[in-house]
Order: sequence, then structure tokens, then C-alpha cells
Amino acid sequence: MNAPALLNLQSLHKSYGSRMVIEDLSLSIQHGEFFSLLGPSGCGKSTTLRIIAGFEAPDQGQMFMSGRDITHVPVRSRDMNMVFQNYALFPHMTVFDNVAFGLKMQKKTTLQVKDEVAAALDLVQMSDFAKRLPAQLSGGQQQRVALARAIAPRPTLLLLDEPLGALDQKLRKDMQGELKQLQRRLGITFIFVTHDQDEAMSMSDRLAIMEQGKILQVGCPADIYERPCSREVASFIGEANFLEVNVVYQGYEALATCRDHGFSLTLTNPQDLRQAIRAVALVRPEAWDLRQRGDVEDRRGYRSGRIEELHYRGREILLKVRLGAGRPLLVVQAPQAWMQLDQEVLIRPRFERVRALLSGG
Amino acid sequence: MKQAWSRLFGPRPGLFGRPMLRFSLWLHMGLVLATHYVPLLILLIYSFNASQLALTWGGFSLVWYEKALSKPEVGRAIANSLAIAISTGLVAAVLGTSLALAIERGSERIKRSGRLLALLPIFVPELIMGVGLLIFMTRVLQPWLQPLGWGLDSFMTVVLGHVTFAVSYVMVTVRARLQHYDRQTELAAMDLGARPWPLLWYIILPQLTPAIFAGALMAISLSLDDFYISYFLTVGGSGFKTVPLYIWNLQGRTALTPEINVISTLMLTASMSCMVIAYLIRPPSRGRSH
Amino acid sequence: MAGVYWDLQRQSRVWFAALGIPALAWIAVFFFGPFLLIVLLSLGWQVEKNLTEWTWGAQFLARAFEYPFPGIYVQSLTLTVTATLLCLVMAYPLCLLLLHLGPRRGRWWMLLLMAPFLINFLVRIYAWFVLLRPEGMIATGLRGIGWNTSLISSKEGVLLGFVYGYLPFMMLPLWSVMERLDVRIVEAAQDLGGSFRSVFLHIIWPQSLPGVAAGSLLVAVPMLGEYCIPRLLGGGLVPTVGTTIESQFLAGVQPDWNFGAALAVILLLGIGGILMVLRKSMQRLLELGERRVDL
Repeated sequence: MNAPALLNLQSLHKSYGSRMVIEDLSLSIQHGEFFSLLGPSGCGKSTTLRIIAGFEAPDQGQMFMSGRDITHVPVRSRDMNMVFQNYALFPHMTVFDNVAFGLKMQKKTTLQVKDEVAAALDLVQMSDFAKRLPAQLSGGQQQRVALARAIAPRPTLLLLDEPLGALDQKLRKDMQGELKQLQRRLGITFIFVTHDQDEAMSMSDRLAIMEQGKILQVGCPADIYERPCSREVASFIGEANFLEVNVVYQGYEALATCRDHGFSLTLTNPQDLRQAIRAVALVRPEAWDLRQRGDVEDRRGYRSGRIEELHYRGREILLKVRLGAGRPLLVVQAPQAWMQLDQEVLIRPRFERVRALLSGG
Repeated sequence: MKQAWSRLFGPRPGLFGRPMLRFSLWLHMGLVLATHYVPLLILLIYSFNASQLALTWGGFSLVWYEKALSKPEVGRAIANSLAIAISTGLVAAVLGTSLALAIERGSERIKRSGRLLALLPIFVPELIMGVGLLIFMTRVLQPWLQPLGWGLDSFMTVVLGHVTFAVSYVMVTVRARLQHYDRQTELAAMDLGARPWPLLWYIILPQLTPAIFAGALMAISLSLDDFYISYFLTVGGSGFKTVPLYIWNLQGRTALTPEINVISTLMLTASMSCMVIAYLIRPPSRGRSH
Repeated sequence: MAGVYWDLQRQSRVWFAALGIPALAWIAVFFFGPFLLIVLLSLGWQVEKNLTEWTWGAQFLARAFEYPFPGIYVQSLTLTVTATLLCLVMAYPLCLLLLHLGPRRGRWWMLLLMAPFLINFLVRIYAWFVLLRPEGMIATGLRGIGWNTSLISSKEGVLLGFVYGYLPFMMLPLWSVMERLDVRIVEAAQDLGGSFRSVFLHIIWPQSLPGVAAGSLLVAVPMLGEYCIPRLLGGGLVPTVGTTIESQFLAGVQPDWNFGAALAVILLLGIGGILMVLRKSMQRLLELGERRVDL
């Protein structure tokens, strides 16, 4: 993180009337990375993207690109292009003319334009469609053209506003892979906005989780998943079990006992707890050790329970295990024949050391 | 058979169930349609009447067409009307479109005054417009026009008058489309580096073509139809005529020939064909390739 | 929405606003200019003389209230009001029928009704002129059954012309409103045992009132300034404000431009007054217009 950032957002504020859409938002985006803005609808991610692009002005705050203050620079002069959610292809122009538009605005010669359009179309595998009109293309094809159009002028930054939202599942997965490859090949920095966490997690180098106009956490996918900084982030990404625990501090260690189920845990991040005696321990569904009742020799650490619900997902199975009072535990494992409803089981955390979050925080 | 009868004429479910009600409504519709079409049909039919008298049918003939069309004034009037209409269409299209763009993409204040502007021509009687333009042309413009060799009731002044009230109609038409088409294409163009002029020329105008075309057509038909403005501008009595003026002048004649019928029928045919042609060559609203 | 900061799109906004300058200038000169001149004339502007030699004053406006003009105003007004009511009475059942036919079939009949109005206004009025002439079919037919009238040069003829000419201006706004009538409410009322009469009185009529107002406005205002129809079908025997104004500007018939302008000003004031009173309907028309004109 010592290299100078490509894009720097500092304390951006934006409100529509009395509604605060973005609050004190600061972000740093590095050269060549695939960065995602992830959050539920209405969290302000699209607005942030529009402010970066220049379609809206922030009420307060500044933006720097490669050191230059671009807060007031008009849209057309920013070295970035956008792929719109509904593609926004020019309906009266052919695919070729669409892609050529940005180059024409850069006053390139006809020959240059021809070459670069061909190169861009080739990158998105739409070379055969150069003479078609947008109305004659399918959704996925339109999307590729929109992409080619944004890439052709070789911007330093590419902004993508939920570009895969209108595609069906299979196409979406394919495009995700293609986008990632494209980004690596071109070396352009991507800022990708989406509400689909799987998408964000699988494609990004780093991502920011947003909610209600604020950034909750920024980091690489692994960081966010394994070390969420708050309950909101933890429950937004992946599934989670939150165990209420009582904490006892011994020197540098923090020992926790699960109030509902009695598991004994050692906490990995005592420094975050600030000597609180109550906290919430995070245990991911795949972090359980689940056995059949009669299967275990040494029952130390295990608690007994019953399978209350199960959802078969092909390569994994989601189980809800009831241990008594309180909420059932979410467990994700590779499916095994004995996993049936009402099956008596033994369960304990696979790892002794787990991360804790402040309760309510 | 009885079923069909009762379904058509018997009581039905629904608000208009009572047959008497339905019957009277249909009767009313029939009468109104008759009053619409019968006079026009009579006009049409009698234009082919060989006899001069309006009442007797002398047999089918085109003699009145010959007579009417051979008159030079007729040809001149038609040419005048067409020339004025097309010029009006062009000028009004340009002005109306630029006004619509100014209102829709300009600031908020202009938007509000623009709405008001759109309604003004509808509520100002054409009579007043005609009178006002007469005064304007004679007293204000004439001293300027004289050296240029343009007379008062010439082509130019009539076009000036027509354009003035046609602009609003074009503006409303274009503005409606401007409000409802995909604005994101404009944002995309700006994002790709377009300055205002290229944005307008390459992106906005091509998408507005159907509306501009429709607006121009409206301006053209308003101009062809116009009576008041041309009338007042020619009150000075030069021979300049448009077709409506020519028709108007025929009423004064004591010997009424079916010439009136002929001119009317021709105008009828012209208007209908205009509409049909406009409908057929209407550009697809989806836009076209370059 | 732009907040404290400079609107990033401001440059283009100014550019686009500037596009409208030629059109606005045109309208200012050729639309408002004539208005100004009319007002000046009505106040005594003597066009041939220099500014200092004007005989300023309200004498022309005053004359507009002397005999016989108030009578003419009253006649114009009664003609207009009667014609508007007639238009309403003619248009309303048509709209009811269209309501009954539903959107699909209704559209065709609407087209049929509106089609003749694509034809030149003057030609349409002329068609009636030809029919109504003393030598025309109707008069001859009426004479045949002993009714010795001619509808030409009569108030009835003018009324006929008005209604015939302006019916579509009543139909369109009225239908605009009525086709948006929520059919379900009507059906519900019926379900609860309402006869046609009660449903009409309590549901259809009240809901159609905005359309009635808009249509009446769109019809009455132009009618007040009509010259063609009263002249052609009234033959000089049915003076209205319009014909009187025209006669003041017509060369060769004792033209008095100042007086004509005064009359025009009075006409405008009258129209302005009506619009003031019916301001709401005007706003509604604006909205209707903006929603309708879509390509």
C-alpha cells in the first residue's frame, strides 16, 4: 500500500433533499486492481460511482486521480469510462459506430479508429457483429458491445454499474470469468458495483462493503470473510453463527464461554474487545465438527443436538442443528448419507481460536 | 340466429345493458358521423356534376376540373400555399427543436416559462394574431422591407407569421420525445468525451428525428390550413393568394359554379394524401443506421 | 439537487439554454411585438404621426362600450356559450359510447370521427356553406315541405358552423379524461345495484368534469375570436366581435385601426378573464397535453 493510489476519495458527502445518501466516504483505489463496491439496494454504491464518473457533484469532499484534483472536472475530461447498467448503446448507430464513438471524440484518424475498434471488438468476441444495430443483439451481446465501447479509448479507469444484473445465471457466471480475464489482460483498473456478494467476492482483488451511505469495511475477499470488523459485515458476507459469549481476560489472552451452548473458545482478537465481558463470537458454518451420535470416542468439547432442517445444495449440505434453547446452529458440510432429519448429532467448533465481535457492533 | 339477434339488440350485462340506451347512443353516433361526412361527400360528388346548377345532376363529367385547373390563379395559389407551407415547416422545425432543447436541457427557470409559451398560441385567437401581424408588418417592418424589394403581403411576411405560431406546436412535440427517450445515451456520450455540439449532432438529434419530422408535418398542415394570418396580411389587396384565400374569395361571386366543389375536392384529396404519405414514410421510432 | 458545489454539468446547461435564443427572440419580436402594437393602437397611437403628436387617451376604448357594441359582445358571448354547450351535448354521448365499446373498438370509431378534421378547415365550413345556401339542397328541401327559411345568414347557421367546426376540440380533452375512468369503480357501483342513471350522475359525470372544463375552455376561447364562420354562414347579418374587428381593418370600409385595436384589447381581456377563472383547467390541459404527445 505504499504505491501512490490511482483514485482517492476524501470525505464525500451527498444528500438528496433531506436524505443523506453518502456520508463521509473515503476510499483509496490502487492501480490495476479489480475493486468492487458491494452493498444492498439503496446503500449509495451507484451514487458513489456516478460521483466518481462525474455525473453528480458531491456536496462536500474531494476526489483525486493520480494526484490531480478532479472534483470539478467535467465528465468528458476524466480519464475514465463507464459501462451502464442498461448498456445505453446508441440505438441509431451500428456496433462499429458505437464502439468508435469514444475514439472519434478523441479525434483519432479514420485508420486508427478502424484498427482500435477492431481490437476492442476482438477482445469481447463481437467482431462478427460490427455492422449490426443494437436492437438486433441479445442482452449479453449488447453488454459486450457496451464494454468494448468503454474500453476502446483506453481509459485508465473503468467503471461498471451492475453490468451483469440483467443476465441469466449461466451467462452471468461466464461473463464474470471473462471480465476478470479482460481486466488482467488490459491492466485497466476496474471499479465494479454490485449487490451480489458471490460475484464481488469471486471477482475482486479488493472490495468495500457499503450500507446506508457509509463504508463498513474495505479489504480483500479473504480479509472480509475471515476477519469481518462488525456484525453487519459478517452477516452480509456468507452465512454466520453468532454465539453470545462471556469473556474472561488472562494476561494477553481472552477466554470465552458460549452462554447458550457452553463451548469453550479462545479469541483471536482480544485487542478489539477493549476489555468487554460480553461479546459475540463468529463461527462460520463450515467451521463446525459435526458427527453422528454414536460415532465419537472422546466426547470432550462436543455438545449433543438434533438436525432440525436440511437443504441439499449439491456439493454441500446446509444443516440447522438445534442444541436446546436459542437459535439453531448453521452448519455446512459435504453431504453424507447419515445426515437426516431428526438425526442425533454431536457438534463442536473445529477451531479453538475464533474471532469475536463486540455485541451489537 | 335468435341468439345473435338477442346478443346484439337485447339487454346485456354491464353498464350499458338497456337496449334503448345503446340504441340511442348509436343513433347519436350515426347522426354525428352523417353530419361529418355527408357534406363532404356531396361536395365531392357534385364536383363531377356536368350541370352547373347545384341541384340537378347532369351526368358525370370532369369539365369543372378542366376549367378550374386551367386558370392560372389556381395554379399560383396552390404553388404559393405549398411553398409557404414547406418553408414554414423547415423554419419552425429548426426553431421549435432548438427551443425544446433549450427548455429540456437548460436551466429550471427556462423550463417553467417554456411550458407557458407552449400554450399561448392555443389561447390567442388567430384573428388577433392576424391583426397584430398586419399592424406589425405595415407600420414597423415595411420601411425596412421596401428597400429589400419585399412587399407587405408577399411570401416572406406570410411565412414569418406562420412560423410564429407553428413554433410552439413543434416545440411541444419534440419536447415530449426529449423527455421520454433514453437519457442514458447522452450520459454515455458525455462519458466518452463528447462536447455539447457533437453530443447534439451525433446523439440527440438522430434520436429525435421522428419527433422533429412529426412536428414539421404539423407545422406544414397548420400553414396549409391557415386563413386568418394570410387574410389579414393581404387585406391591402395585392393579388397574393393562398388556397384558403382563393376559396374564401369565391363566396363573393354571384354565379356560383361547381368550381368551389372542385377546389374543395382537390384540397380534400391533397390533405388525405399528405396524411397517408406521412404515415407510410414515417421513420421507425427505433432509429436507423448511418 | 446541485448542493453547495458548482454543478458539473453547468457548462453544457448554459450551452443548451443558449440554443433557445433565436427562437425566443423570434417569438419576442413576432409574437409579443404585434401584441404591443395592438395595445398601443388602442391607446391612441397614430401611426402616421410622430410620437409627440399622438392623441393619447382612452377614447377608443370608451367607444367600444357605446352602442351598438355591447349588444355585439352579448351576441358573441351567447353564441359562444350556446355553441359550447351544444358541443358538449353532442360530444358527451359519443364519449359514453366509446366508453361502452372499450379501448380496442373505441379507437377505430374515434378515428372515424376525427378523420374529417384533418381536412382544411375552410373546406369543411364551405361544404356546409354550399349546402345551406338558398340554392342549396337543404334550403330547397325545406322549402319543399313548406318551411321557408334559409339557414344561411342566420344565427342558427352560425351555430351549426361553430359546433361542426369545433367538435373535435371538445371531443379530444373530454375523451382523454373519460378513457382514464377507472372501469372497476363503475362496475362496482353497478354491482351495488346502481341503474345507469345513478351511476352516471354520481360517478361518471363528476369524474368527467375536468375533461368537460378543459374541452369547454379549448372550444369557447377560440370561438370568441371567430371571424370566418360568422362571416361565411352569417352573411353579414350576424355581427360578432370577430367580424367587427375585421371590418375595422378592412380597406375600403371606413377602417379605423385604433378602434379595431381597442376591440381586440377588449376581446383579449375577456379571454384573459375566462382563463383566470378557469386556471385549474388550463393546468390540467398542460398535463394532459404533455402526457398525450408521445411518439
